[in-house]
Amino acid sequence: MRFWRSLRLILTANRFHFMAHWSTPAHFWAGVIGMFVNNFLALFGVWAMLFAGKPELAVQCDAYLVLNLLTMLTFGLLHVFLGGLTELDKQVVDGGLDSVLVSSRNPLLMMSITQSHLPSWGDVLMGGVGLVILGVRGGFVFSFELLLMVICSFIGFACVFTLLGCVPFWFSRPERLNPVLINVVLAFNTYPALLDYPNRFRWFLVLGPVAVVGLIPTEFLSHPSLSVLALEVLGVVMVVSLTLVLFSLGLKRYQSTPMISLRRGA
Amino acid sequence: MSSARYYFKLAWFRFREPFTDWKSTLVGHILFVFFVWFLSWMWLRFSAKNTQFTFQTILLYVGVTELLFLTFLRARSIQDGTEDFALFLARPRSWILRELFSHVGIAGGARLFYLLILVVITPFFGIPILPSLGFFARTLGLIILLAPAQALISTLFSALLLNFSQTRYFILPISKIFLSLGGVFGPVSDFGEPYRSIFLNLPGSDLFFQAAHIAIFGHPFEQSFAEWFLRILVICLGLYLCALFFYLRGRRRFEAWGG
Repeated sequence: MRFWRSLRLILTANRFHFMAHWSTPAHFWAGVIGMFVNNFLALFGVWAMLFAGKPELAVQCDAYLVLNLLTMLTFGLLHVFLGGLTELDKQVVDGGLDSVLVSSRNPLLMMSITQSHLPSWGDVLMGGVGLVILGVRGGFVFSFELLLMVICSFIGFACVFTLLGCVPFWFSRPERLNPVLINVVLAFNTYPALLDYPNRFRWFLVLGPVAVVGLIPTEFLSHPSLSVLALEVLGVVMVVSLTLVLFSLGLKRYQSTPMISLRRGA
Repeated sequence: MSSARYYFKLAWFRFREPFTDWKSTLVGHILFVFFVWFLSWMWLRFSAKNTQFTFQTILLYVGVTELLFLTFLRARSIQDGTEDFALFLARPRSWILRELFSHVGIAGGARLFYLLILVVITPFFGIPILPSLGFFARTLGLIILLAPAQALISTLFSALLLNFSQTRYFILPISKIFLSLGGVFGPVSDFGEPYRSIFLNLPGSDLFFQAAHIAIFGHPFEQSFAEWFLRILVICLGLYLCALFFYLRGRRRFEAWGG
């Protein structure tokens, strides 16, 4: 019951966000097309450099495509539907959690629906269309596996952004470090450098919740097996637990806007 | 004379920005070290066969291209130029020159900072400093030589923003054109055909791939230095004319607050 109420709240908030985005169609389409072209060029550039004219790397090329489409879709979905999570670090620094803490609902949920990023519709469009085509070509079982991995990857991304958003609870001035860490996570989950890499390395990446976002889901979709599925599920459970613990611990250290003003004035 | 002093002072002021809070700048620039290592490593995994580049040279190559690219089109500094446009129209200065010098300063300071980082990290990858002095000197020369092209493309985007606010969404895709087709990820000379021949003829290749090739080998790839330099001049002229056109159009149609 609580889950459905939360879902209804997310959908209602996003209906208003979408109406705001759509109020100026020129801006909406410029944002969507801009991001679509951006993603396409990034995808094409790495493909042209590493895989074009190299039939011996066909397997890695397919995995690279799946990895990127999956990352695009889940990254886009997070930025569109739970966009507030991606700004959590700034909100903690500026005392922006004050308003959500007075609500009776979960502060993380309330924070997540405060924003929606317009250009990320381009990510959703490209990743979504690409994965639907792959799903139709791959058949029912593959489509089901794909859906499962999209859900896992989405949860993984939400947790990564929340974890990074928790950094300012303990350290001041995270504004330069957080974009660096986000880019590192994205680099591991968009460039094909770690595809098919030895297992010990992947275990390390699960512990630093990077691989659950794209690398392990891609491995599962390329070579489905129970062990890889278990690795992904375990990784997601670990990262969700870590996120919830760190967020609740961090919240105890949160300083409201009047306290921040006092500190800055001193 | 006072105008010239104003522009140079502005460029110098913007140049010093990364060095004023160098600890914070260093944290932000960790990404540069990561990408230099990561892209070199990825290239080694997939493209190490049939190439003139070794791991050491590819590391220097990615160092130069990333140094040039990470300071190439910055949305924040592009938008800065348009924010006080209404006020600037009342001043006896050229907006285009102000933008040019400002971008030269911002990119110059950041690029020098990246170069210093590259000097520090190269020994950790087994590249001795002393034999690489020529490379670092050439890179420094290229930073100066390519500053106008970088500043002009940023100025063009600022001028476009005066006309069409939606163009801010296209800063990222346009930068990706240079990233993907200009050989920032890896040397265009190692790409498969027909992409290799096509990309080599694009402006992105002149600004990134050929620049890195000159820094490492001392000469451009499959063309003379004069030919490369002429191509850079043509790119600069084209960018300047476009920036001028959109600036004049923007000034004519500009609506200040409340317009």
